[in-house]
This record gives sequence, structure tokens and C-alpha cells, in this order.
Amino acid sequence: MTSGVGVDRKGQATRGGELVVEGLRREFGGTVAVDDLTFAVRPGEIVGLVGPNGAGKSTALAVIAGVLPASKGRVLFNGQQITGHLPHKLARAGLVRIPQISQEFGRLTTLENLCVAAPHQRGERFRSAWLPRRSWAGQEDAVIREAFELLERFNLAAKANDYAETLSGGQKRLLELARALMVKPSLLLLDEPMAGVNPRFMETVEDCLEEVRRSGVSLLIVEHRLDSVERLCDRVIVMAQGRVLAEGTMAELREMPPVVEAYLVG
Amino acid sequence: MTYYITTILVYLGIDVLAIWGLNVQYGLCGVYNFGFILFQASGAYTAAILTLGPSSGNGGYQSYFFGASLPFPLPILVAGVVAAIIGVIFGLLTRRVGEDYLAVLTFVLAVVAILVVSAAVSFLNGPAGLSSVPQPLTSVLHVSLIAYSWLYVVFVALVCLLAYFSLRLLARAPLGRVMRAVRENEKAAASVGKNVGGLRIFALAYGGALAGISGALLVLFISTWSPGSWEYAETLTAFSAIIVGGTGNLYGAALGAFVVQILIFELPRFLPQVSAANLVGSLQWIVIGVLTLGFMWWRPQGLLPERKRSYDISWPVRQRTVRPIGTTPAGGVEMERE
Repeated sequence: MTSGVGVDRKGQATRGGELVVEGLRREFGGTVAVDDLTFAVRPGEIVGLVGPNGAGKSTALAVIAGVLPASKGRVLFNGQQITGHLPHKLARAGLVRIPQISQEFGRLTTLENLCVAAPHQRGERFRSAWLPRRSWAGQEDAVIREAFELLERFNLAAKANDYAETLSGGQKRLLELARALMVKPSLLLLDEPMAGVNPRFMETVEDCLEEVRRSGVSLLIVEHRLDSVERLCDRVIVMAQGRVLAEGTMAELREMPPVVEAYLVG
Repeated sequence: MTYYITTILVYLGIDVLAIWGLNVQYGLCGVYNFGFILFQASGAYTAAILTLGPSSGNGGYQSYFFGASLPFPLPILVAGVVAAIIGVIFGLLTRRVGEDYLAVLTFVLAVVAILVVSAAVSFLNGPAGLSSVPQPLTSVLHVSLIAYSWLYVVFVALVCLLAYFSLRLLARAPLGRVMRAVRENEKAAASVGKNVGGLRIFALAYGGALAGISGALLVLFISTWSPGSWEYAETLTAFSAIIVGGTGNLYGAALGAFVVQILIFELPRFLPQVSAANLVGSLQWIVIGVLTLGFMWWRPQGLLPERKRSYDISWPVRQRTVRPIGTTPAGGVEMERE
């Protein structure tokens, strides 16, 4: 499906999907959303980030992905400091975030949604506005093939030429996942991938995420559905009030009274 | 009558060119450039001062900076370049702001520009503007006014044709696709590695160049340009033309230019004067406003909507056996519906 190895800005392959977060802090005015957050994601691992509402999970993801600046601390991706880098540069380096609310390109077809995400396209250079089609047609055909192959794997091939805005909630989540894979990431940050997905469709989304991991991509998932987290994640980090409260497998976490008290009960 | 027809045709070509420029910015890339008219104005002023010659050489009845007599078609090309540079400046100034703030910022920049040009008389002759701009090649062609106007129609049509082919290439290239993606969702485009700021700058520069060239063609035809020619309302009519014609569609934008700029603003000249002198002028703006609101409400895609770009997906890859996730190895596709 995908190599699982990212590429840097120069198109060079990077090591796969290691993330280290050290002492990350994010304040909004006087409110501390993320406070001294420290954890790591190893290559090829699926790590869950859970916690009650307001624990700082989504904010942490947004800071790691460069959507929000960090107030303090640092983020290392594949051994390189990426704190404060812009999202498009991080995506080119192989770190892609899929936000909680679907952000499809509504008036582009499903296939086009994927084609847009392919990196290093000759036809996207500014001079291509004046160059004939043959200067980029060969690569474009390869991009379309790759995109269509992904759509087939994600059960969206029948929708290839439909506008993305016409897809259902679950299909949009799959589309975003497939689109992210077109970037050839080594680490995916997913903010509540099951949000808005019909329960009957969740198993398909889980299958897709497993498939992504098998291809060598690391995943950091923020999710409220603990059954999905338990099935998918190798390790789970529990956050509360912006900090890491506990870390382990779901079975281990159930045995920890502070975690049970703060989150797992109710 | 013939001269009126040729004038209308020149106006139509110039308007189509300008609306195509806005279509690159707004229709294709989703940049709400409410200072759009500044690009056309910059092209017009540039072409004027590069044609009029030095300010000291006109008897002192109008003053402006620089001044040169460049041979045709250099003033038009330089006008495009100057407008493109202004587009780059706009893009850099608005690089980090969201689209709503961009709209306000570009509007403010255009208003400030018109105030500066009006106040600084020695810059571009202030509120009186520039006049007696020589028409190109008149000293070489030696033809009648009507023949010259027909030649100008052909020249404008050729420029439009060049722009059309260039814009078609852009719209069909992956570059056009990624610009449409930025239009649909800037954050999502950035999240898959696209440089949204750079694409915005490109759209502003490219669309700005087209608008600048349209301004140059206009001033070289009508020989005069003043701050009254590029008030903010002109930007609104350009947006109306795109909304009515069809956002993101070259033919739609051209049709919008015809409907709004020609049918609504030029046709009433034939209507008999039936009441107060300003009534028709006021009604024109009311019609523009109602038409724009009506289309936004009932037909936001415009008269000619943007074409869906379907791909032929019937190559060998279609025939390969790729098991969709969520299906059994036996093969039955599990179609999920919500």
C-alpha cells in the first residue's frame, strides 16, 4: 500500500515514523492545555492517546503537527527537531495529521482528493501553467493509478468520480486516510478517526488502520472509543489536565486506580 | 454606430481578461481579493506613464513620476509584470492570515492605494488622473478611426485567445487541481504537504498580471485613467460577473463578464431617458446587487458551473485483483452504506 518510509524535502528517504515529545507545553492565554507532555512513538507502533474531554489530547496533536505553536518543549521526528515547523513541511517529511472533523476537498472528486496529495508532482510546478500536458502526463498517469489502487483497497473505487462532498461520514474518514497515505507518510496522527462514523462502518476503519500499520507506518491515535483503542493500539497513553497520567496496555491501565478514577469509569 | 460596436467589443475583451484574472484568484484558488481593481489600475497607470513620455514634456498640464515612451507592446507587458509584482506583495502581506482577513486586508489595501494616488498629485496626477495617453501604433498605421478600432478589437481578441489557452493549460494541470484543493480547504491542502502561501501568491500574481494587462489595454484604447475609474465598486462588479457566470469556469467567467459588464452597464445606454438623470445608473447597481444575491442563494454554481473532472479509470489497474479492505478473501465486496 505504502512504503512506510517518509521522504524529506529533498525527496530523500527518512527513517520510519519515530516520534519523541519532550516537555511539550501549550498555553492559551492563562490556560495551560498541554503541560510538560513527554512520550514517544516507536517506528511501526500504534499508540493510543486517551483521556477525558479537555485533557489536551487534540491540542497536543495539533502542536506536534505544527498547526499550533508550542509554548515550550520540543518534538523530534525521526531524530530531527521539528518544533515550530509548518504543517506542509512536516507532511513533506512524512508526518501527516488527520483532524477530528473531516476536511475533504468537497468539490473535487474522490480520485482527485487523492491525486492532490501525491508528492513531487512535476505538473504542480508553477511553470506547468505554460507547459504542454506531455511534460507531466507520464507522472500524472502513475499518480492516478496509485490513487485508484488505494481507492480500491479502501472500498471507495465506485465513488472515484463522485464529488467528495457526497460521501458519507465513514467514507470521508476512509478518504482522508487514503489521501494521507498518498503523501507516503511514516507517521500518521489521527484525531478521533471514529468520530461521526456509523458503528457498522467502524470495523472497516479499524481494518484500514491495521493495514496501514502493516505497511510500516506508525500511528498516534486520539480516540474516545476504548474498544477500538484496545483492539488497535500496542500502547496507550492516558492524559489528564495536559499531562501524561499513565502509560501501558489497556489491560495494565485497568489495574491502575488513578486511571480508573480519572477516566475509565463513567 | 460601428465605433460603438467596436468599443463594446474592446470593453468585452478587456472585461473578460480581467474577470479571468479574478477567476484564477477567486474561482480557482479561493483567494478573496477584494482589492482586485487595484491590479487593473496598476496596469493602466503603468502603461500610461510608459507611453506618455517624460512628465516635463507635456507642457506641465499633468504631472507624474518617471514617464517614458516605450515602443508597443512593451508598456502592456511591463503593466502585466508590475501587476504581478503587486500580486506577490499582496500575497506576502496576507500569507499568514485566513481567507476572511485576507478579504478585509486586500480591500483596505485598495482603498489606501486610491487615497494615496488621489492625494499625492505629483505621483500620478492626483484626482484628475492621466489623459491624452497615445494609442499604440497610430503613427505607423495611418488608418481611419473605425479601421483602427477594428484592429484594436482583433488585438484584444488575440490577447484573450493567448490567455484562454494558458488558463486552460493551468486548469487541466495538476497545478490547477492543487489550487482548487486550496480553494476547497486550505488546512487540508497544507496537511498533505502543499504550500498554501506559495499557491496563493502564484494565484495573486498570475491573476494580477491578467488584470494588469487588461488595464493597459483599456487605457491605451480610451487614452485616459483616473482614480474614478477604479473605485471599490468595480471589484464588486467583477465578483458579480464570476458569481453570475460560474465560479471556476472560463466560459462562465466570460459569460458573466458579458452579462454584468455589457448587458447591465452598456445596454441601458440605448434606453430612452424616462426620469431623473441618475435613475438608470442607480438601477444598474441595484440590479447587480439583486442578481448577485439571487445567484448566491439559488444558483451558487453560476450559469455555467465548474466542470467535474472525471478520469478514465479503465486501464489495466482497473482489472487487477485488489481485495478491498473489509471484504472476505472469497471476493464479495461489502458495500457499506450509512
